[in-house]
Formats: sequence, structure tokens, C-alpha cells
Amino acid sequence: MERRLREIAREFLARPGTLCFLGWEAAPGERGTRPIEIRDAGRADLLVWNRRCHANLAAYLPRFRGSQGSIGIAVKGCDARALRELVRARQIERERLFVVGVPCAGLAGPDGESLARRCHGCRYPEGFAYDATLGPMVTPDLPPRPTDDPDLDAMSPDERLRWSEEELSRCIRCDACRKACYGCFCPECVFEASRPRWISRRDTIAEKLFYHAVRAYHLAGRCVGCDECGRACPAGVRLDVLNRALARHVEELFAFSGAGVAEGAVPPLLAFEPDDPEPYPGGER
Amino acid sequence: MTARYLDRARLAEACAVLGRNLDVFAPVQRRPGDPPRLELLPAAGNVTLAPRKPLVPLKALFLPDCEEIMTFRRRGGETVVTERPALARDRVVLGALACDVAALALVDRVMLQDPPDPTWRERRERTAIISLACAGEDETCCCASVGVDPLRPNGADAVLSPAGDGWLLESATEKGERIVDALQEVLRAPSAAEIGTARALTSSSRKDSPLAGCDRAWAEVWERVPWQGLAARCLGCGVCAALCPTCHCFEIQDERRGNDGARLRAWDTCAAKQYARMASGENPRAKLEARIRQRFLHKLSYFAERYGVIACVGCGRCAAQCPGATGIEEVARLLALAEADHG
Amino acid sequence: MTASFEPRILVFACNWCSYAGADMAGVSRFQMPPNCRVVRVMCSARIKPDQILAALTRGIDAVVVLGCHPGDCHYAEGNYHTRRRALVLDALLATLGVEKERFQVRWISAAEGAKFAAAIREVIDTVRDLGPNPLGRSHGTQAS
Repeated sequence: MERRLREIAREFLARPGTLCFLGWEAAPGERGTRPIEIRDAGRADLLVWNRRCHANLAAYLPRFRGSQGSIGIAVKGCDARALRELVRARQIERERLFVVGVPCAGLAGPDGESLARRCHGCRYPEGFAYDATLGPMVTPDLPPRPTDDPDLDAMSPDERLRWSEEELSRCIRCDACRKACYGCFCPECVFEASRPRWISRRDTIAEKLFYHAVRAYHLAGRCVGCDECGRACPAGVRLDVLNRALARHVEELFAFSGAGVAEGAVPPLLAFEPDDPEPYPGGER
Repeated sequence: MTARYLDRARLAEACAVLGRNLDVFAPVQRRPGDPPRLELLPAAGNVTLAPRKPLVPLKALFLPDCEEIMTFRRRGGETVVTERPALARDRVVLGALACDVAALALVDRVMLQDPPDPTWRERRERTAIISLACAGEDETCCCASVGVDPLRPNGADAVLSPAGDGWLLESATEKGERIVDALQEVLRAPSAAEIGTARALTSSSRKDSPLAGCDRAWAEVWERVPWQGLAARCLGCGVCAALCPTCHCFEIQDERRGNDGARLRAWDTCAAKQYARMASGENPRAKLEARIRQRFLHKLSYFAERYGVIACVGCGRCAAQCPGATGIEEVARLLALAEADHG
Repeated sequence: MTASFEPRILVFACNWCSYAGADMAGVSRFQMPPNCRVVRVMCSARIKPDQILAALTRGIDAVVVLGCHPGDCHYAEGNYHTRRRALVLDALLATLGVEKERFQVRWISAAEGAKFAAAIREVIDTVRDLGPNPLGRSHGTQAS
């Protein structure tokens, strides 16, 4: 598959009007691979494909707004969902992209062996029109989440609060999760605003909770579960647990198939129904 | 300055003894597998003295992530300003690693210039540092390339060297001597074998990093470095700066609630888009490429031009944590290559 | 939690229906308890969930959003958006472990002064029983 990926990239870059091809290359250290932007067909041999290609390359697309030329991009299932969402949100035009589907059957965990936690519950997008694929792009059959993983739904509200506070207190407010997230593309983020200023730099749990609660809310219905946030986090905060729990609720509430899963599906927060259920306390309208 | 010995079994006791008169900071692991964090004892988790770099470097104890440097209240027509209070007690840090300790000396060059930063100075003067001789954490460690001795850290007041089931403890300064004295009740004389083990310690910290001898005016060479490749994979996330032991930029923010308020000093990073933005809205480093250039030239060039040494201690945190698997060592390598290519 | 705990409650009321309803209550001699700070907005949809989260994470004991009945929004659709956002916010607060009573949405029309008064009293009583917002504990500078 790696050889095929390089061929496709080489052919793509040889065409007129192409700007670059986004893929993964080998990298020193424990990460194993890292993103690469190839502009010259001769460098296509640097591309790799293996179980350590974690980076969600779709996150790099918004920066191409305002430039010219077509962009090739290699995507796994989760990345393709993010890409579909970015196109829907008009952050990049589909016509500019040459999307190469890479059939990922699960990425490696931190020990290099086990399954990365993001891969449990994997869902590929449905009916995605790739420009090329390295194989059939279907959701692989992957084991369910391990039972010792925190399960917020199984906890009582008190336990959940304790979990939230304890987990989020590990945060060092470095902003890496926000920058790594494909869905955080606002030119001026709420956390960067200074008039008014919404968040304080104070090193308190209150501010950390505010940060992650707001981010989770802004991603509700848009999080694709790629866990790039968790990978970027140097403190090991389980953002995936929080965002996945919210994603499940949102999908149930609005019978939503999941961010980027169904073609043409609009994230729940961008629409409404006249007969939506009532928020708490409910009762008569 | 004779060597003494601390049994591992008495570590908790040692912390308690020091805690009678000092605020004690030590590396604490909340969950197994976590990176340790330097926390004020008592803290939730296990005190772990090990060659594992704390998540947030030692400099955070001297330049906090966020602190109130003054508070103000308006009463009647008057505004009353209250300066940050002095530390309640002197402090001691246990288990600091050589890279972090060396970084303090680098930041001293900036913070202790005239006029010295009051917070930094007070904390430096009132904190004793007991470091841990470090065998090196992983392949990213290259402190030995930049003049840092991982086994006998320069700048530490005392050093713990692993030997047997505990540590040899030797003071290096008067401040350190006082700490060792205070701990006498939990220390004993080391055996000859224990001394031998401590003396024979080695570190895997690499000496061959391109960071060695890197202090040059790199600004011209930068243009020849294929930096577009760096910029293409950089997310501008700033993890490198958040974890860097020598980074010391900060911003000032005033917070007001009605008639009360506080002035905060908080960490800032040149990697952030808003960092160089001026009140007029002008931003000379709105582009990511410009911020990347500035970050590395500052560390490897401008700082060296001013202080004669690069602002890097080879700890390797940036390389280990970067989602794009890029650290300052790689940049140093690219600079050296670009220079060599040219002539 | 002492017997003297009185909750602090932030109330958003939309200008056209619920704020008018609040006025109506006032005219009918309803005494607004000091627990509530009422903020008038032109439409309930103007409220960003960020603002609600800002209040709750920093220790406000409860936030109440009052708007026009669905279908009656002065701006046609505003409160439909409010309703969706509130549903997602409910889910988020539940995920975090915050008691659901601390964020409430009620639809109050301009003529429903009595309903406004009853709603306010009910919220205060409920939240008083819940106790202070546990999230408010850490709102302050940590020692370093």
C-alpha cells in the first residue's frame, strides 16, 4: 500500500496546477511518523503508511484558504470524516482536493503494539467519494473499548463530577489540544479574545473546566473521535472520554449518525426542529 | 561536606523533617505511568525520585504559570495597591534534574539583570535545590552536548546520587550544607560499596548533538534552511514552549471585578498568534513561518549573541512532545547542514 | 453547608416575552428575591452557551434562561436555536457531573407574570436545597 501511495502522490504532483500532497513520513523518536507536505514529485518516496500514522492531516487544510492550486491528501477513516466536515463548513473546497483513502485497520497504541484507544468504536464515513483509494474503505471490525477505560455513562453524577475535576485538573493550559483539533479553525478563538476576555490565565480548576467545557460544547456534533487532542496533550488528559461521551448523547438526542459519517448530514447545533424535545425542566411548552 | 546516605525507606520521613520549617517540593506521580510533577508536599500521589523529567519544568517554581503580582481596591476616591506578599517560608526542591537546574541559570541571565525581577529573585534566594544525579531518560536527552553535567549538576545546592537502595547525599553549597544538616536524623554514613556505586554512575545523555557549539548568528543561514517543511507540519500548538525549561516570556493581564482587581503575570509563548500583536491590531508575526523562525533564532542565536550561550539545555521535551515530532535539535541540525552546504 | 446558604442565580430574560413577563410580575407586587440577577437580552438566542458555562464553572449556583414560547419568538426562530443549544448544554453538564437543576430553560410570555414569579421561587428553592455549586470551590489563585 505504501508503494501505491507514493505512486499516486507522484502522479498527482506531476499534473499541472497542483500545490502539494499531504501525507506522513518517517520521524525520529517515539512518534514514528509525522505529517509531511510534499511539493516536488521527486520526494514522494518519503511517504510512509503504517500503524503509527496517527496525525489527522485534515487539520492542516484550513490554512490553505486563500491560496491557489489543488491539494492531495491521504486520509484514514476518521480523517475522511473530518475532511467531510471541513468541506461542509466551507473551510476548504472539495474541488481543490484530491482525496486518497487509506484503509486503516487500527493504529498502534503508545507501546507500539496494542490498539490505539481512539480506534475502539471506529466508524468510517458512508458514501464518501474518494478520488483514489489504496483498498476498500470500510469500517474495520475492531475490539470494543477495554472495560477498565473510564465509562462516564456508568458513573453516578457525583462520580462523574469527581472524575471531571480530577481529570481536567491535570491540564496545564498549554492549548495543544485546541491547535491539534481539526474542528478548531476560528480565526479568533473565544480563548484569544481580549475584549471581553472570557478566560483567565489563573491556574485553577475552574478555568480548566471552563476551557474544556467550552471546547467540548463547540465541538458537539463535530468531533470525529480522532483523539489528536489526546495525542497532543502532554499531560495525558483523557479528552477523548469527555468528547466521546458528549458525542454519544448528541447522536442519541437528535438521531444523528455522527460528525462526517453521513453525506449531507448537518451537525445538530446548526439546525433545529419545531418539535425538538424540551430542555430541563421540560414540561409544557 | 562529607557524603551521607539516605535509605529509600526513609524518604517520606526526610520530606517530613524538611517540611517542619520549609515548603518542600518533590516530583509526584499521581498515576503509574504519569510523568512526575513537582508539587508542594503533601500531595496526592507518590514521591518518585527518578531520571524522569517532570512534566512542567523546575522554572515553574520560580516563574509561576500565573501569579498575582499585585491586587488593588478602590475605596472612596482612593485606590489601594497591595504588592505580592513575600513567601511565607523558605523552600527546598528535591529531585531536580540537571537540565532543569541548568535552565535556571540561563533564565537568571535575563531575570536577574538590573533591575532584577522581584519574584524570580526572591524565589531563587529562598529556595534550596537538591538535585538527582540523572542517568538520562531517553534518546531525546542531550544535555551533555550543551555543557550540562547530568551527574553533578552545576547550580544544585546538594546532589542525591542513586546507590544501592537509596541515595548518596552530598552538599555543594552552604545552602546545601544546611539542608543536609537538617536531615541528619534520617541520614547515615554510606558504605564503601555505596560510595563506589555512586561514583561509577554514568549517563546516556548524548554528547554528539548538533546543539553543541551551536551559538552563532544564524539569521542569515535561516533563509537557506528548508524551513517550509517545518512550518508545513507545525500546528503552532506551543507545547514546545509550554514545557521548555528556559522559556520565560510572560504577559500581564489585569482582572477587575467591580472595585477590586488584581494584576496577573502569566506565561506567554511566541508560538501563539497573538503574541506579537500590538494594541493597534498590527501583528508582525501573524504568519506561522515567522513565529517558527523567531522561536528558534531566539533560542539558538539572539540569546547567544546577548549572553554567550544558547537558551537550550538539551532536555529533549520539545522533541518528545511535539505532535509533529520536531525538536530544537533537529532545527540545529538543519542550520548546520545549511551552513555546510553553503561553503 | 450552613442553614444560611442563599443561592446566587443568574437569570437571562428575553426582552419581548419573558422580561415583559417579569415586569408584569413586578406590577402584580411580586418581590424579586435578592438571589437573582436578571440580565435582559433581546432574544434568548443571543445567549452563548460559553457565557452560561462561564457562570457555572466559576461558581454561580444556577443559571436560568427565559424566552418566548417556541413558535412565538419575536425573531421567528431564535428560541428554536436556544432550545437546541440548551439540550446540548444539558448533555454536557450531565457528562461533567453538574446537577441538571443548575441550568434551566423556561418559556414565559409577556402575560405570564404569575408564572414568572412561580418559576423564580421554584428555582431558588430547588437550588437552595441542592447547596452551593461544587464547581465554585476552586475559583481563586492557587498558591505556588
